[in-house]
Amino acid sequence: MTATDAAGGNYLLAGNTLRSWLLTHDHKRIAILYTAGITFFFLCGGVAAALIRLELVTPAGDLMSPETYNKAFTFHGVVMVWFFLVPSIPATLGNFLLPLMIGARDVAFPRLNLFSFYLYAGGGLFTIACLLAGGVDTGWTFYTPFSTMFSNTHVMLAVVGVFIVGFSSILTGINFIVTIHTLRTRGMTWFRLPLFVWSLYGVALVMVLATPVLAMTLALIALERLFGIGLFDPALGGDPVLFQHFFWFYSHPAVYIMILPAMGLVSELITAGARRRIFGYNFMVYSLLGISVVGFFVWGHHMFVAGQSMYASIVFSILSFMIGVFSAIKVFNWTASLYKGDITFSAWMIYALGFVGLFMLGGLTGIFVAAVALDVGLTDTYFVVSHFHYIMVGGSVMAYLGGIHFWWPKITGRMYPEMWARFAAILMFFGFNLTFFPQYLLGVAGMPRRYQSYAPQFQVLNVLSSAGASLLAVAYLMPLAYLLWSLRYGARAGANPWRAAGLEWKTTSPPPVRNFGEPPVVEGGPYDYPVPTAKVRATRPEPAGP
Amino acid sequence: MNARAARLRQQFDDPPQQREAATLGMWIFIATEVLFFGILFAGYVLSRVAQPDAFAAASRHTDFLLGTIETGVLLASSCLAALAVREVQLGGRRVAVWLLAGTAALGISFLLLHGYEYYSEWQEGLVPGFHWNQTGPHERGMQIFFFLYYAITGFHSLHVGVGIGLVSIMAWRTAHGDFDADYHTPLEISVLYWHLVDLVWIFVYPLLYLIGRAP
Amino acid sequence: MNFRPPQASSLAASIDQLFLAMLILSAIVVVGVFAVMLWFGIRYRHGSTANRSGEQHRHLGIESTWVLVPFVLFMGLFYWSTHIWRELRIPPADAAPVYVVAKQWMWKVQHPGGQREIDTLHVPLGQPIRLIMTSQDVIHSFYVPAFRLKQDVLPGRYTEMWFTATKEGTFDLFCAEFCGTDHSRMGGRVVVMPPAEYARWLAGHAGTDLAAQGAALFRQFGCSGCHGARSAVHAPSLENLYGSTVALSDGAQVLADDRYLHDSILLPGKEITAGYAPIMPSFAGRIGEEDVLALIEYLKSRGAEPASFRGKSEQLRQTPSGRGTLGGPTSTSADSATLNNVIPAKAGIHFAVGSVEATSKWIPAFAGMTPSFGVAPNILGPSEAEAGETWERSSPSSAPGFATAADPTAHASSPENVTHQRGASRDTRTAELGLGHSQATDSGGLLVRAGDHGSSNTDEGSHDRD
Repeated sequence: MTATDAAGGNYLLAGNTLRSWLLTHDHKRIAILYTAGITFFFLCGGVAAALIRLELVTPAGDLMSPETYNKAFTFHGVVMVWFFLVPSIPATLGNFLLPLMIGARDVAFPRLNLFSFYLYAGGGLFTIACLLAGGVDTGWTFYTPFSTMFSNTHVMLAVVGVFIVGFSSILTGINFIVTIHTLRTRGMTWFRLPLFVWSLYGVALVMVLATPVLAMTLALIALERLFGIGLFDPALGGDPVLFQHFFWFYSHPAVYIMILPAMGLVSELITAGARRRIFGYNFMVYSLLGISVVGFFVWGHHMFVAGQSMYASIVFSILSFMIGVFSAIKVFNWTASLYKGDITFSAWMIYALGFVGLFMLGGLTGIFVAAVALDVGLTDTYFVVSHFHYIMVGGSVMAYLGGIHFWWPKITGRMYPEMWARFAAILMFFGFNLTFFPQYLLGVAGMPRRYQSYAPQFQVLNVLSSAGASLLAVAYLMPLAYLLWSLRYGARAGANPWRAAGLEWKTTSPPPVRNFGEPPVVEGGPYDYPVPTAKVRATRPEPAGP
Repeated sequence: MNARAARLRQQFDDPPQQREAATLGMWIFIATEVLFFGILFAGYVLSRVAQPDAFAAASRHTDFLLGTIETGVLLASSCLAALAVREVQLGGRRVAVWLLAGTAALGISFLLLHGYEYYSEWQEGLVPGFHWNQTGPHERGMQIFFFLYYAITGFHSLHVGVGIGLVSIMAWRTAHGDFDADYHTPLEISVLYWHLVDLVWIFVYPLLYLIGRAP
Repeated sequence: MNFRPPQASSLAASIDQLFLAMLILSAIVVVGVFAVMLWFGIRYRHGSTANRSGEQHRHLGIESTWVLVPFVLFMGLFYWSTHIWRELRIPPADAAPVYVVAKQWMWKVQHPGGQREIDTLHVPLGQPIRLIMTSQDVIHSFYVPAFRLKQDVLPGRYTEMWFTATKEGTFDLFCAEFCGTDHSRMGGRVVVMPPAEYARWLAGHAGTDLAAQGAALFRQFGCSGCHGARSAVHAPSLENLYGSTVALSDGAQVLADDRYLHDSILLPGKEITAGYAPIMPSFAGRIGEEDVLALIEYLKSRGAEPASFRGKSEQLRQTPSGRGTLGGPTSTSADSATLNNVIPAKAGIHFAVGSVEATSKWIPAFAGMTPSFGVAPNILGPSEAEAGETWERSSPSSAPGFATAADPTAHASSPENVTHQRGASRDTRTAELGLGHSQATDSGGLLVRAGDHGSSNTDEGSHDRD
């Protein structure tokens, strides 16, 4: 207890004023600010998604006007990508756990951390302002010349919003890289880092190197609207495909910003749930870094039919298959980590296993669209929509929710209601598949994306998808309800309710302001779960004392 | 001792660690800035390859003399900034303040020169979308060149502005004795940033003022 | 229930084979991983008495297996798919060209024989067809699920797509790239008919063939004034130009293909022929994409196409130099005229606003050309008689109707609060559809535009601006 007090006492009680939250430099409180922010935007994006699914119940397009529909899917895309998925795991769980996992007192630049939260909030304000002013109808991809010369909606506001939030992500990335480089505690060597930290490192690299490209590309769009002249205007000899190259140079790596932390996070959950060391730690690290690096060179696979050269497409195709190899390593290693484990199926373990399944389905369909010959037919159809929702929603969101459950006791000091959580996790898995599996079939049947009205032969599948979406909505609202409930009524959690390995479990729940009483010293690799002895009924050994 | 302890933020164990973190952070930030400008340069190169004649014609309209003077001004300012850091490292203060003030002054004169350049381009009708007087077969390509010209120099000037602010604050803090031979990380990374501003210009100058000028 | 649309093109079957192979492979992986996960989950659940001893520390063999096996499989799939991809991209030499111009929100098709269609494409069974496509506003994408093919259609450049239809019938045509308000309604159909029936269809809808239309335009836009044989102006000869290699003033060589001709008309400053002064005015904003296609067709008719041309064209287009992938788009005078006639106000805003400015800005530059109108030498060849009719096609009085999407100030200054009028744009669509059909049958495939519509629509344009 004294150690905790010396480290500043429970961070949640370190101040109760609004000011103590809004001007905090504590990475844990900033993480909570972010959590509130992304939950808000997730709900906003979710409402837009609900409108889209409602509209698509009938082929006629009779619920809303085409402009409204176009604005709805644009808002859904912009909000979900830049205000939910990109910051989701890194800025919330990453921010909270990174210093704890490497035994540091805080991130390297706490003030910068707070500033990047306010950039996020500022960008969010612009996006909301854009919505209130009437919305934007370009799609989240802002393709030129539609966005620069033809759209009469509030492209500027949206672009400025995303531009600002881009800087938030750059600053977070800088903070993470420097923190991991300089603030590891004694004995925490690079190859003793938990995989989640490795994944945050990979993500931070991508954020730092890709986001400036997006920022400048969006700035060019804004200038092009302002001057009426620009690089992307074919009337002047400019090239709209150049915009697509610049855009996807960011936006494809951005996909890895969204999925890499999920991969790292799930590695934590699976090892804790199976009480086993991760299978092939080094391969996991290398494949993670491999994805981060190769991910920078596959952007052209978004443009197989966009008018780039035949040979460019072939190169981008083969590199995209490489990403498939890296991802395959991960799926097999997660599965192999269960071997000879001592597996409990807590809610977070269900989320983690659900992640592996959905990620695998999303990844395999990724191979379909990496093959140019198939992509020609499938791109810009619901096949692609479903593919990236399997990765982004099935993957990242499942992992995020799994992580929230796993570390909930650490973050809040309370246990969540286990039965409700398991029910929500299972409902989410089935609701998700019911929503998005029909969309694969829609894509195969030839329904293009971003269609407000569609040919009647697509209706059955669309109705199925919308039905699934309503299940999914319930499954997403449930955790919101019972987690908030548990803040007050949940049982108090001990320091390590899951008996998990990892430095974050070696401090109190919730952690003290400066995280650890004594700076911890690391003596072994991550996931050092005791090996059960032969033929003895497995029992859970006590965690090693400090 | 007390003063030094106050400078050490609580998340760091010792001053070298803090200094390493700050420097690494600035280098990574510089990497992002390089990419920020890099995409503009990439756009420039690709557009130039697509319409070489128009770009050559347009770059003959930029002000070679002013551009060269601006280059000199920025290089001189970087030199002063580097000398200021050296002065502080050697324990000096008064000279360092003057050197930093000189850096900021040169930065301001760079902005003034550039402002004058913009003004004369406005007079000539070289501002696409607002005041454009050029005609001829290369008109459209020239508009793209000048669009890039304003985008690149505009963003660069923005960075110069930020840099002037930073250097001025550092001059003020140096004058108040915040830095000494042992502790001058903020000064060092601010000057690092100033060098970045200079470095970017080293690429801007030939791209906009030199290439294609020869007949 | 089979979700796959019918296989209606020569490549659809091989694409579907690849799809099926990947589907089976994926199914094996999914079932395998799920089975193993389930087995581990049950066998090693907490509290089970399974043997957990003998932890394996040496993973290298296993890891390498599941790195190498997917790698080899993926390389096989990559090879397979790339093989099909090359076939997809390189059209056979005997492919018949058909021109497609996309605009918000319709597909306009021109056959070389002068037949025009809107939102419908008639093709013969078994004959390779090469679509040469461009857009006059934003990016669209030509997608026929039954052919398993899709190609983005870009403003300012030509993209190509080829196929051989192998199944008779009517198939869906969709726009697959988001293009604005009525994106989801920008569709149509592809009608595949037996060759004999197709020939009858062609004959029934024949108009002035495209080359002849181009010949008329060549004279009407004053091209003949400079490029004619007896012209006093020093301009490159266009005889046998198509398919030849042109030396440029900067020392480069360029193949005179569709792309080159398109850009030379709309962006003449971009590639200047060696030995000639850059005096040609740009026709961007003055001439529509459909007319450019007609002009190119006419220029092709003035020069034989070398046999080796097609392969060369593909090669050149793929050179990384980036030279000349770009060009200039505009809305055609014709379309904006028709469009603006029918649309009350807002839907035409992209095209209409700023049109007057654009035109007046160009008239002085073009003024020097006008004297040569009258002295058009007789270079038009056999189709001249027919071409005579097309004088009516767009009299100078339609000039006020010029409206250009390329004029950026229009959009920059257009207020952000202007919204599309859904009803209005629908009306246009149907109106133009009707117009298109009636022309195809009644007036020999020619769009006839009346000047008075043009002027009334100028008023609309300026009204919008206020």
